[in-house]
Amino acid sequence: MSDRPLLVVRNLCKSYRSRWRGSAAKVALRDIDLTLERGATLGIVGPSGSGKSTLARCLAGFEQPTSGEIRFDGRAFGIQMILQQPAASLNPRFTAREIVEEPLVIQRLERAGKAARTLDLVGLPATALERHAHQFSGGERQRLAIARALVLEPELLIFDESFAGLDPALQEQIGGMLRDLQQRLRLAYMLISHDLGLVQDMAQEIAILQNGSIVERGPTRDLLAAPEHPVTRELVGAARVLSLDGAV
Amino acid sequence: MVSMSGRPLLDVRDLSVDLAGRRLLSGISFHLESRMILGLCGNSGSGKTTLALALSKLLPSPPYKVHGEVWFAGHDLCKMRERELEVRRGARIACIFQDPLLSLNPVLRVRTQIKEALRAHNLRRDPGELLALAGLDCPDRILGAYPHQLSGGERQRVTIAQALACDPPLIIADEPFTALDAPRVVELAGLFRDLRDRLNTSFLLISHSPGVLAITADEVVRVHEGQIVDRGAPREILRHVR
Repeated sequence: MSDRPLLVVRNLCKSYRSRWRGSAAKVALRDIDLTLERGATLGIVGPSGSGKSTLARCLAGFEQPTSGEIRFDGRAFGIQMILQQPAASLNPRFTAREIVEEPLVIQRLERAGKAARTLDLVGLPATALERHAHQFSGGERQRLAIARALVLEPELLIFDESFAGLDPALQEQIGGMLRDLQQRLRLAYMLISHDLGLVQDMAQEIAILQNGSIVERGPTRDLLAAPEHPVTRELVGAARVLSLDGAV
Repeated sequence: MVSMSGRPLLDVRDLSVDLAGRRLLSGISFHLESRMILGLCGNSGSGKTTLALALSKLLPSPPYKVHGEVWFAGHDLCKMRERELEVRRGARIACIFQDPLLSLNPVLRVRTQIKEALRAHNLRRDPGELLALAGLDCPDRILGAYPHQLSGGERQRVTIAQALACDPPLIIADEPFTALDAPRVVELAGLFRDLRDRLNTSFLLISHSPGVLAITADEVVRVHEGQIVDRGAPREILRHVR
């Protein structure tokens, strides 16, 4: 394994051309610089419309950046993304095995034994393999969605608001599992959310995004203790009000 | 505060809901006074949304079987015919849902949609005034906009303005803040409390977020596996949840 960072992003820009003549292009991302080490977790937090999802989609290869550089020092399929409400996007007619094996089938990769091994990683028993998606509980479906991303043996998982809408007990459960996986597999995570409270427990570092630019970044503890940019201050203040004990 | 007849605004007695032989809710009894925000918490799948739908009589029967009594402003909603309900629903109990993008029509301007809500109940009110009640400062810009041109917070305020069209004594809000970022959540929680104080509106606020309930609700009821297991001051109840 090399000691170079897993992911380096330099001057990443993305703008969308307007469909109407004469109106200006919409700039979604402006000169984004990021570095992510193996086994580390970076939080990307910002208000709605700040460009979080565009950034995720550029990194995962769903969008072509307008300019800039994305250097990923890993394997093919090394970046996998888990979308919002992943549990709701599972095909209810598929068994757990079919759900987890589908990415391998699409990529024409060897399947033998992989589904069972991957289910084991996310804490589901081998007996779950032949059950259908609708027979699983909400938490188990969440695990299945993560297993589906893990089966391609990625090195970076991007979670785009994947935990929004989960109740606190489930959030804690899934968070614990992800921490455990990170240690065992040396996975890097990028957690994208509009909710600072959701990412602060897991991310060592947080970058705050507004109008397509990173306006502030730093180690999570420092950022929460002494937010400088008005947007960060607003997010930290609101997260504090919404946390039961009044402290973030 | 108790209404003039001495009865609470909403009095649910022994409500149960079955679907295909499975009991979704059983023996639900609680009451809600006017001018009160009652929080309803519970994990996913505990029956929170089923309860909200049962109270607004939005569960079709069949396949759902609803038993029990739901007394609202002196009438048992469970015994009412559909036509009587039509008049009552919306006019008396309004609902706000999670994602305003789903409840708003994407191809109509806000003005048209609010007028629709007013026309449905034969009301003549100024749409701009309703938006102002929902805390939208520049009604003219909002009225002329399509939903996609508004921010998430503005969109949810538009659905609140629609809900306020008939001065409902009770608004049922099912996870109304989930799609919003934290600063907007805090603002909208403030709006709910403000409406309670200014218009005497009661809310049944469904949320799985302890923080949201702690800053919004006067009291919290906890639902677990289709039953009410706890009721009390928000911080008391929610401390045990974690």
